[in-house]
Amino acid sequence: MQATELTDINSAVQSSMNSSTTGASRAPQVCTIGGVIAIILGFVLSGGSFAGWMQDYLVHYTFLVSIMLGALFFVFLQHLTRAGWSVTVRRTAELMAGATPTLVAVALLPIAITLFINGLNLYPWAAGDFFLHHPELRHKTVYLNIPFFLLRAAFCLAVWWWLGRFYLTRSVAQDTDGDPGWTRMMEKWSPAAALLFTATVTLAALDWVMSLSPAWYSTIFPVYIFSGCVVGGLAGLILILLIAQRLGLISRRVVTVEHYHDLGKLLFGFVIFWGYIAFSQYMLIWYGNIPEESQFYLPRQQGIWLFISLGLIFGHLLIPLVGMMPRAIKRNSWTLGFFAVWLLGFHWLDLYWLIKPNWHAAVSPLSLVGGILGGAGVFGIMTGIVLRGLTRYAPIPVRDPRLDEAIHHEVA
Amino acid sequence: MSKNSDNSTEPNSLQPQYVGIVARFASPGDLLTAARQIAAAGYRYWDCHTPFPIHGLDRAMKIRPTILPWLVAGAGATGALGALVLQWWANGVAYPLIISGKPFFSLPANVPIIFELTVLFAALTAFLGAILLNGLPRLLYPASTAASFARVTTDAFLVSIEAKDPQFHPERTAEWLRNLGAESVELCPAPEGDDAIPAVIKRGLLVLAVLALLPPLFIALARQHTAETPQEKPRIHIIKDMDFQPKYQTQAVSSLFADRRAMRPRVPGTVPFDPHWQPPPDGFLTGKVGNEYLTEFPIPVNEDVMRRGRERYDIYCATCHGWTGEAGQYDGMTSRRARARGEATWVPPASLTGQAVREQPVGKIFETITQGVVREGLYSMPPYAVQIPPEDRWAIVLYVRALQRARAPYPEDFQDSAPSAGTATASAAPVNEGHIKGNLAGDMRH
Amino acid sequence: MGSASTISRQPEVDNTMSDPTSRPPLVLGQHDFATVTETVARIPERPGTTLAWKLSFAVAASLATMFVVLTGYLFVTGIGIWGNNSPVFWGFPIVNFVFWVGIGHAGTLISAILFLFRQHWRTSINRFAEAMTVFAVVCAGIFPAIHVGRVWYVYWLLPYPNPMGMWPNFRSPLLWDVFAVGTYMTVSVLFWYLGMIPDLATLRDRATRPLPRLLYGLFSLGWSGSARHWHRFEKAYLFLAALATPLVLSVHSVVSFDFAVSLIPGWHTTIFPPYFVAGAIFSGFAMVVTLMVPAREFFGLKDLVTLRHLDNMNKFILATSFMVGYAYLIEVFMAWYSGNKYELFTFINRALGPYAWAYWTMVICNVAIPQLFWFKKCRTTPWIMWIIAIFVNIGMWFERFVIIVTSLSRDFLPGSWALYKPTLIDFLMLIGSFGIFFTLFLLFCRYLPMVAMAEVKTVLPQAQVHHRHAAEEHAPSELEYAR
Repeated sequence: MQATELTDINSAVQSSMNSSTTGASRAPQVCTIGGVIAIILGFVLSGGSFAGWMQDYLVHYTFLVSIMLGALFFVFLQHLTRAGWSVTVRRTAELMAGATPTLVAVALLPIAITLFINGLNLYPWAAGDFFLHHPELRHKTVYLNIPFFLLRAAFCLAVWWWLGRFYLTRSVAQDTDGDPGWTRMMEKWSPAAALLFTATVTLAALDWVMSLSPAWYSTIFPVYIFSGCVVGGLAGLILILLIAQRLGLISRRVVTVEHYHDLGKLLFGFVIFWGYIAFSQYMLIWYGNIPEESQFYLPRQQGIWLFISLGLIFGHLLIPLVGMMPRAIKRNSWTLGFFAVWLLGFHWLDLYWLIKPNWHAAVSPLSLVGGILGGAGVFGIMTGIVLRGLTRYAPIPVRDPRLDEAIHHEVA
Repeated sequence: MSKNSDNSTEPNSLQPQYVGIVARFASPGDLLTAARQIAAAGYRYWDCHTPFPIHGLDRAMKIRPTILPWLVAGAGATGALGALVLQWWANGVAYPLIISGKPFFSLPANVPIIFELTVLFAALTAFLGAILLNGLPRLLYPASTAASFARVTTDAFLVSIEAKDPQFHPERTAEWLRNLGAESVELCPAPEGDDAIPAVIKRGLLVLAVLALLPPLFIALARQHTAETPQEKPRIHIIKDMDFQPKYQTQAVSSLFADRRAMRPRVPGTVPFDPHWQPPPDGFLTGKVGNEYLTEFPIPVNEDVMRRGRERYDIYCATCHGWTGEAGQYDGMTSRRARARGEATWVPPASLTGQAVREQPVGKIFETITQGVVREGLYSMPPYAVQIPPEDRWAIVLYVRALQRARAPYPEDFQDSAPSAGTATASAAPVNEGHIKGNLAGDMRH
Repeated sequence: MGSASTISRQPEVDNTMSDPTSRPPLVLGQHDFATVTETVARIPERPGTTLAWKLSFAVAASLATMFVVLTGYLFVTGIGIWGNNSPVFWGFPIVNFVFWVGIGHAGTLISAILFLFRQHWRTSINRFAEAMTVFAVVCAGIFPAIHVGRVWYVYWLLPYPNPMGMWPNFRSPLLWDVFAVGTYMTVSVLFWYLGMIPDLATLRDRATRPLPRLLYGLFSLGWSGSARHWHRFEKAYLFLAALATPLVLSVHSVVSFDFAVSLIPGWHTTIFPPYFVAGAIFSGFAMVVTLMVPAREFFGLKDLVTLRHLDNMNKFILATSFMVGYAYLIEVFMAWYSGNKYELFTFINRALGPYAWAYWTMVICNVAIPQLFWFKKCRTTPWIMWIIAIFVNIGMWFERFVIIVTSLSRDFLPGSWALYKPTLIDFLMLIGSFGIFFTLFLLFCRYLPMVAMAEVKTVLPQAQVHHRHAAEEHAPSELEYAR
């Protein structure tokens, strides 16, 4: 790495930052406030009861968590594979994973508090008399009880908080001293991060989503949630990068069409992976056709849920599968941005589809619109947080030893 | 650089044996630079030869993007659609089979094969497309005679320009290539011999082709038989297929026992398994009492028995006798196939509705089913006592009677209010005629 | 060793250092394009074979012959010569099938997935791994075919119009297997062969004797390295890689469906598809290491297949070991969580029942022993990694044994329980399948280019060209990474 070139890049980065800070200074606040308004509007639109709001709240919460986890996965995956191409987009992902855990922790509180209030709790097993009425599930009290649930949640949140902060702070620290040792340290911890990530995603998937239907079980379920997380995280990363570049926060010389192309390919790959996992789960349960498993799919094939299920097959798999295949689609910021928005939307719908039918609630199109608006609000808040981070820190890891490789990255 | 456009006569007449020129470059980078300039100079018949793909060379040479992606996409779509149609048709239409309570056409279960065939078709097209669009296999190139060409698969980076290019001139092009940075430039004489396949390979292929014809020829000869010249010899029995098992046949001789009977008699004191067992009516098992055939059914006759008889008939008898029991063109599949193949030992089934069988008493028909028909020491119809229990054999007889009556109805059958006979008679089954006719009408449609 | 005269022992060079500021070289030594060709091509060009190769080949070919003879015996006698019995209908043949087809996954994974992810270290090992894939799939394909019993009717599995008027049941996972394994075999061979065409042309151009020249010439189809040909070749190679990647996932997923669509406890669980795929990659990488460690030593390929390649593969083994361990864990957890008595019993029976020894062999070999790869010493010392890889091979064979035998021998109905005991023929056929595998493999090592020469050349520093348009900036930097 030539020193002259480094200063060259630095000046490019600095100049792009300076020229844009005035225009983009209010963008974080706009995003955050807009997000909050959208969520409130969404709740108003979906109307209904407090219980209905709580269910929507859980969907929005898991949506937020999943995008954060997808970004966290992206960050430690780059270190695990010693990737060079992704350095310039890594800071945005680091912010998505490292600046949001506090919000994620605080946002769990309503769910945690209502656990103790009979009639308001989201999780049927938290009701005092649940296991009296379901003696066949009584052995699960060892696992599905409020203190242990909260303990596991606290463990997950602590791990995410620590991992997110770890990668963000070390990377930012390197901005000032340029010590390759930071990179070496982040790489060294990436296998441990992968293990902790696997454990926490599994716990969160089983606890927060699967236990909504305490009798149901599926061993692939955490993998399903994971695949959704990565789709959401990558789509979110692409979208935030596009927004940040439009606001002038990140120079077009450092994050180029080549990076979008590769991010698009990764997103495309994980869309297929999601389809593969979703199909595996559905096919095996459909083929086995035993009630304790198929009880999951039955309510999702009735009424409006049938159309939402079909919508997921087409919207979350088939349409992006065909649509994102051409190279040109992934290299055009508008088409790629379209598919990022599209997949974020369907990722939200996927979580809605997982969570909402557990109450056999009738869902009107209006409440669905309200829900989507709320999901957009959640993403707006996250965008606000990340944009604020991009203005506070250098928008790319300016002294990463592999920065040069990333800037000159070209898709073969 | 491209001034020598009018060179078609002069250089070629001087040195007509040249087919092209080859320039060798030191590195991929030099080649890339040169290729860009050659493309810019407007050469048309030229190429680069490299030991490995050089990134960006195709763009530098202005090679038109291949149509391979479209071919592969088309093949993939064909594979997907083909797999879907195949599975829908095979399991949903042609051969519907109930498997673990799944619908005949079950999309989730069809996805794996749809996927596999998509990949298979697309992959084959990608491979064959690349090979065939490249014009491979190919023996000679314009540059083949250049000395450096032998190293092109190791470490040589070559540019070859063909003599047929309008801008080609032996000296001037060579000079120009040297100026582009070529390490060495050679003119390629026309290759000795033609670009035809060498005679050795041709002869080898010919011998292989002739040899490959032999097995199908022998098979074709062995299968030369028609209805007129039937096959005399039985098939070769390579695979024993559990046909010959070390076991005792019924009534066989065994040296193990003093009485030399393989079948052992009942142990004294054996009692029937069913405590309510009653001996069957006379003739129930044989179809005759003494030497007289039964003329009436020994079992109660009703619609259930008729339905059972039809079902059993369709299973056991229709394969040869046909759905209607008529001989000739209405034979069952087995008989038609045997006749079509000219099987020498095949005896066509008798018409069940013809005069002869119509006049047989029911006991005789029952006995035929039980014992089969022996002609010239061979079974022309095998005995069915093993496969079909006696009740079902009687039911079949009943159904045969119905088939016969449908073929040769009684006058009263044509009247609107046909009297329903109250008892079983020797010549006709006393059942609802509408039912019989309905069945027959249905059967005739087969 | 008879090879001492031709092969000089090369020293190990450690290029596994982790330095973020520079990329370590993928090819060691002072190699240029010609020496890469020389290193690889001299192996098939050597006039005589070495004694070691002859001895290995004699052993492998004898075992392969034994397998063929036993197969003949099987056809004549029937599958009663195996230990398969009433509840355990699948026994060794299907264990061996899943084992081999799993091994057959690393080749395409290394080739296709690493190609798509631009992992350039694949170029040294992909040919080797692809060959291994093809041979493993050959071994895998034999077992279900001979397990159908009347093998002469095996063509009934194919959908073709026939006088019986019958069609195969497309809703059966066993038929999906036919299509999946058949497609995988075809695509693997195409991928292997397409990549090998330029290298066969190299051997053709270097051949001095007429017969090798004719044969290499026939199979290289007249390849001349034309840029117009490379253009289509690269596209086709990319497509095959892009098609093979989901294909790898699908094939072992379909194999897992053979089990998981049934209701047998221990089989019917939704994680089976990704779990089987992870296990397949795990065993496949282990087999590549098992073969690569001696081959690079023996054939003098240490410059091309460096310690860094082995280190990377061992990291893959460690990662997939965790995935397999994760699946073991979540299966046990879910067996308890589900409250399904049969499911729970199956797992208790696996850990404590009559086949507990197999279960714990599996856990130790697949989860415990690969943990040694946390230590860099183990990842970079050939003999240690070789032993660990052998253990993984053993463990993955036992994984299939545990899945098939424990679940079948203890079904829902205790009245039909029976233990499974393999016969001598079972063991001999398992060993014989290794004979087939190694026979093909030794022939490959002897007569075909073991390393993708053309592809290795692309990752040499000399191959890097500055291909950007002149208007763009930062000219000199690209070369830096390659060095």
